[in-house]
Amino acid sequence: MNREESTLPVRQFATKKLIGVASSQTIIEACRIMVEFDINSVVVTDQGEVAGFVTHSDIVARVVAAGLATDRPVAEIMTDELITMDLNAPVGEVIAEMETHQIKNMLLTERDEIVGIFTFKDFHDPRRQYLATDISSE
Amino acid sequence: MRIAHISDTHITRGGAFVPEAFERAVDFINTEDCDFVVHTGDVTDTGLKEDYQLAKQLLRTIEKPKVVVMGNHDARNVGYELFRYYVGAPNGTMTGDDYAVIYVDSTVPDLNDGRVGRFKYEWLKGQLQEFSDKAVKIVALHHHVIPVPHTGRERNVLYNAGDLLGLFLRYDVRLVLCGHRHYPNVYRVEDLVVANAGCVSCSKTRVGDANSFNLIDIDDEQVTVRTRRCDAEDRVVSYPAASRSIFLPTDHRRARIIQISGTNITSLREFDDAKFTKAVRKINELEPDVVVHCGGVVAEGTHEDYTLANRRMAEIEAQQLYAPGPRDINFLGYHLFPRRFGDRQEAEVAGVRFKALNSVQYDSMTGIVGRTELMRLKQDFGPANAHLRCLFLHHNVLPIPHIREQGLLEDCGDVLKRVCDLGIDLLLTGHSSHPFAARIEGTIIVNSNSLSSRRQRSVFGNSFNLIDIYDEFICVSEVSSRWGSRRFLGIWRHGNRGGAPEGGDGSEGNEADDDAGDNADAPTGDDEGDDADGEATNAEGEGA
Repeated sequence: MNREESTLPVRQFATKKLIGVASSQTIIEACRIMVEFDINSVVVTDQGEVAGFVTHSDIVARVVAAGLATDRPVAEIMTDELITMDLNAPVGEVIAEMETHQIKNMLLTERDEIVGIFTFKDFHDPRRQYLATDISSE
Repeated sequence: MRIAHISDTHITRGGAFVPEAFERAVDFINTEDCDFVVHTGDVTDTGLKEDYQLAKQLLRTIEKPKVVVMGNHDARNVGYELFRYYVGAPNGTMTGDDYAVIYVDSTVPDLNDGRVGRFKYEWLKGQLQEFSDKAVKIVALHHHVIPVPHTGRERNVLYNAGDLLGLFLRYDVRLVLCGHRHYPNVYRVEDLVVANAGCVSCSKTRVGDANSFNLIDIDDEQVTVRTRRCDAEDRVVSYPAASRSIFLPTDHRRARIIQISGTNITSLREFDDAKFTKAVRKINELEPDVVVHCGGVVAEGTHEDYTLANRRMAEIEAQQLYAPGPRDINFLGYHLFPRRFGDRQEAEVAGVRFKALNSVQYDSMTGIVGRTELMRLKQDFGPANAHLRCLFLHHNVLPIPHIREQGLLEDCGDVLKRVCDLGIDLLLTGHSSHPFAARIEGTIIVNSNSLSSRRQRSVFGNSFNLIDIYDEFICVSEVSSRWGSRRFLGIWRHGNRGGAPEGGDGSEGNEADDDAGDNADAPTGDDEGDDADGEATNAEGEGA
């Protein structure tokens, strides 16, 4: 990503729809949803509000390695101190923040509500979108 | 916020200009409580100096801030030079506390077609970037971005309408205002409302319609477009604000569809055998209920290609449905395609009704569905009990990013309207070799990339689409032919939930009288658009 691209708002690259699970659902249910949708994280909701976030890494560290039963509520392993950035933040700053916190996903907010996610998969897209068709110059 | 959206005044002495209609519209706007006026082009009929002089006088009678966009008629006779003098900057941005109106010139000298070329596109992108945090972003341009119904041979969209549509969606533009086609029409694409204005004062209306303009209300809750028609009933449509973006899967998958196109099977190098083999392996692993091929089965309609295609397509284990692409029916293909892959394919699989639309013409890359087929569609494929309905064809119905608009149907304005009116759940297309998905009104439209042709356009590489249907929503992903990796193209709740347009018959409470000029309570408005010397009309112009 070049300097110009890194100043673009992350809005342009973000996925603005999220897959989630209810906090009362089990760890194994959350895992099945990740497999079904081929995603590496889910948001956890409680009474309609985002209460936490669970990633592949959390499953490995807090369930598999720790020997935790997979029928426990997903709320037990979720991260509830969420790191978020604004949907208008420059993508370069978002990536820098992800590096700082050593995280692979960044939840994005607009008017204080979580509305999207930026993941390492989305790194493909700056290149893809740079190629907006030059139909003609003018 | 209330916007008066007018278009296609076609001001001239004599000709098709209807001065009375213009005056009535202006009287109404001047007495209506609207914040500003957007004119989406074709201010003049010919672009001649005399027309501009008259237009300048008449535009000054609008006593509101205004943004005026250049149209193809304004650019005629090198009128694009006069536009700057008599109207103002052709590109610019007008901003308020929580909104930005970006207007851009989409004309091409001496052509009716439109484009937003490289520099203007980059400027527009820069403006959207700069005003990314505005709650309401509005873009105004003359040429329509989405095909408009009742316009006959609908091929005259912007060359890069797909790139623009993609840009608007990525930047969460709330409203796009267009003109050009003289027919009022409103669509919602994802959360973007695209409003076309009819012509406010030109006698060349479509299907005998009245002169009209739009009054648009935008707030946090919804966008409402009222098409105010001269001596005729208003039409009103409202779109609620974006639905919640978090999806909680609570059920098992009802159906899995795999959509492919552009296999382009041949013994020649164009066909990437290795990618086809890997893609087929992945398709079989995914265990779909049905595979829908949206055309481009073979590279050419020859015996050799069809013989090979028969053998290779049999490697896919699931049931297959086919719609032809242009090269499937060239040479002997017109005879071989129906014999090998069937004609007029219809099926019901896993609770979904499928129907193929044949959009190809012999020896032509241009597609058409035709009036007869559209009539049949209304009769044969209307709403039916609990089934989802899926139409599939080769040619595009929506403009696709990265493509010069050549894959659209000749009659895509009418096809799109019919599909939306019938509430078809899914429309699958396969032209242009680029993946794209968007919901327009209640219909999810998905275009697939080429599965195994070396002639494809996505930097993601060859791919196919995976469409999973659940009780509550539909999820569409692109799957790489080579690696099997996925990325989301979109997720949508079923039907119109969360995004239903309301109204449409003018039955809502109408706070404005038909006799527009009688409104004694209306503010006079201030005009910050006209300079003291009267040279410019645009309220705030920053040249691109």
